[in-house]
Amino acid sequence: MTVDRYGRRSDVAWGWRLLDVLIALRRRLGVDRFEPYRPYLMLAPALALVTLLAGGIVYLVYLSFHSFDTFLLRQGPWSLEQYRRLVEPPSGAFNLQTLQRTLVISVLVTVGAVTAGLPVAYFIVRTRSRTMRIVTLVLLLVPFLMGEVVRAFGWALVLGSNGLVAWVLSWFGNDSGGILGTPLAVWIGMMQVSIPLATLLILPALTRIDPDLERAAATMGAPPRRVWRHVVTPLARPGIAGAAAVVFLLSVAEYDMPAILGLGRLPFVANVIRSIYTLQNNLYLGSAFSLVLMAISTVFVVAAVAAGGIRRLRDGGGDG
Amino acid sequence: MTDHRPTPRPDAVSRRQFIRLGTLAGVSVPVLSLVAAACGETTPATTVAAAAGDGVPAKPDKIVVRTWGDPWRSTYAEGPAASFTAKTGIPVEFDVTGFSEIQAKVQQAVAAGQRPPVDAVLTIEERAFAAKAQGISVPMDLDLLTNASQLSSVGLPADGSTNYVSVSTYSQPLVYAPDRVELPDDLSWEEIWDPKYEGRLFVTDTPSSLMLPVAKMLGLDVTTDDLTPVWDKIAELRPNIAALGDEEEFLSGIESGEFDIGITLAATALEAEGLAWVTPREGSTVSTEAFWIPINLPPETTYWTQVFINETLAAENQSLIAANLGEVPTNLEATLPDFMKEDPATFPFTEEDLAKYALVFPVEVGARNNDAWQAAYTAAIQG
Repeated sequence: MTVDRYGRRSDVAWGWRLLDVLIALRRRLGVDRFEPYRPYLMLAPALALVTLLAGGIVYLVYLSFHSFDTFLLRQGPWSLEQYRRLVEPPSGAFNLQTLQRTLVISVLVTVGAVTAGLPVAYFIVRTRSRTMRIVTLVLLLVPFLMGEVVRAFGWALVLGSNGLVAWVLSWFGNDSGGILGTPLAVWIGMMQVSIPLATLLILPALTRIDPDLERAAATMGAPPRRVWRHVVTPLARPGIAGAAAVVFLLSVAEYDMPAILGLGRLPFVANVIRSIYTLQNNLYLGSAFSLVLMAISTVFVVAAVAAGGIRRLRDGGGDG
Repeated sequence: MTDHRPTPRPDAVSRRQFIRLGTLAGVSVPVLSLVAAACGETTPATTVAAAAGDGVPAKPDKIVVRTWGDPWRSTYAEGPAASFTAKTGIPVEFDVTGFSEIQAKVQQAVAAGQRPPVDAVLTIEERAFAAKAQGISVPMDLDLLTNASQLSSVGLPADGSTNYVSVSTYSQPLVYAPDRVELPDDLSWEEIWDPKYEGRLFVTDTPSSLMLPVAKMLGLDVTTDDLTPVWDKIAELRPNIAALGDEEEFLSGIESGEFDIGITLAATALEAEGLAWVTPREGSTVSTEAFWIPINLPPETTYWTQVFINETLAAENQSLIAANLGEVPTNLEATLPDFMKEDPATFPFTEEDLAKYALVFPVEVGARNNDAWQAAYTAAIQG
């Protein structure tokens, strides 16, 4: 090993030389001029992604306000035809029913997932056993390791006519043959991923809650139920609102579970949009339905997030 | 108001035209080459010119055929594609893009002035008819489709055009699990409305399987009459419906016991063990699968694709399609498997069978009204 005139060892000299080259290059290019803009430049990928998504939505809006000949596949003039078709016979009542089903089951999934996820997240945060914490976290991630279609068919085996549920029901004299094709089956299938997702999203909010607050409440005589109601839940509200928003948004866009566990009889909006596109050949009508669902979902999510945020401010604007 | 008048057809590329084109190219290319050489440039000889010598177009590197996944792809690969490649040396590739998507992709490519992603499309006849109306298919040359002379009446378009050719037909009878339900041999479609079948029935997610039988039961003509009574009658079937979907969903559901009876392709019954089928006395819907060729292809590709399609119409390949896919050949010279010969009501083959048993799907009216019919059916069956 030798040392050069700057005191640098020969075995690392190539690294320093590369650094020198890069510094020289940076000076020559005058990169420092852009320093004030660096935060904006770092935002560029995110902005590009958002622009791309926004562009897609603008395109959907454009399509939805045009008439379309599905036989000749020709776009017509600006028109409200697609929105009229959504509400008028023969599909109006069916579309409304589908929208209601999508929203109701999605709300039930959201409520169920957050309700089940909150105590699990609390357990992960408060348990003193590192092993239990790791095991629980790993178990939460298991459903994400397989595709949704695989999960749906797995549930179809459990909930179907020859499955575990039908077997258990037969003990009680119910030979109806499982619950496949019912809203309950769809709800159960959707809960499998929604609970872990809600748990993981609530986890950071619970982590930030100082355990001394709970101890203080208990010291003052509050039973665990009141500690949960008046300390843990309010402080976890931002996390709960975020989890609810994400779970709800994913639920309203659900496709596979209603298709497979609903046996095609309980379509969600996504299933109907697919049918409109592939069987009716009408991307324009599908765009209109997509935008209606997006608008309603946005209202739901904004309401959920606002509820979480307002309560948080009212409680003192703390960080949880 | 939508204008549904036929669009002008693109020119067919017949063999004669191709020879003329090739001759012209054969003359012009050397001249252009001389001019280019005089200018100090080189011009590569075109494949068209190279082929002009013997009157047969140059061979493309391959042709790409859109079809359904297995068993369609493997059957077409084993039969017509293999014999076509053996005779011509041109390999055939298969593309299994969905039938709606491929129609949209071809149209987008044509609108952009680009070459379509596939050279031939195998699809349902109404989509092939729509492709013709959309002006994205070429009329085929009957001089190249030598086997077309052996086709039954459903082989070529009823309007006398040659923009597509049907290779096989399929019917949609009642398919059932005989160990769980007993259906009489002579029954009416009215049978499946019986409350004893509550929650035991599977139906397709497209209207053609049910609307034609129901219209016949009600004495209506789907091409001229108001179909409101048809949709109302179909809606009355809802309590009996356990599931709806496509063929895969039928197979998985009937095997797992979710339902006992289904309206689906007769061919689907052959894919599972222990299923039986029956065609009610009113007959069942018969539709065809057809090939069409997109415009904007190089002339030699269009030429050889027609040669390939002719190969699919050959009696031996049609016999293979019948045996493997359970679809009825359109070539009257083809050999039917025994199960088809024994059941002409479900597998109508001859003109007499077609006239007696088949409720042939009205392609033109069906294609023009697909959107409205599908919407009405979906609302009736799922509402």
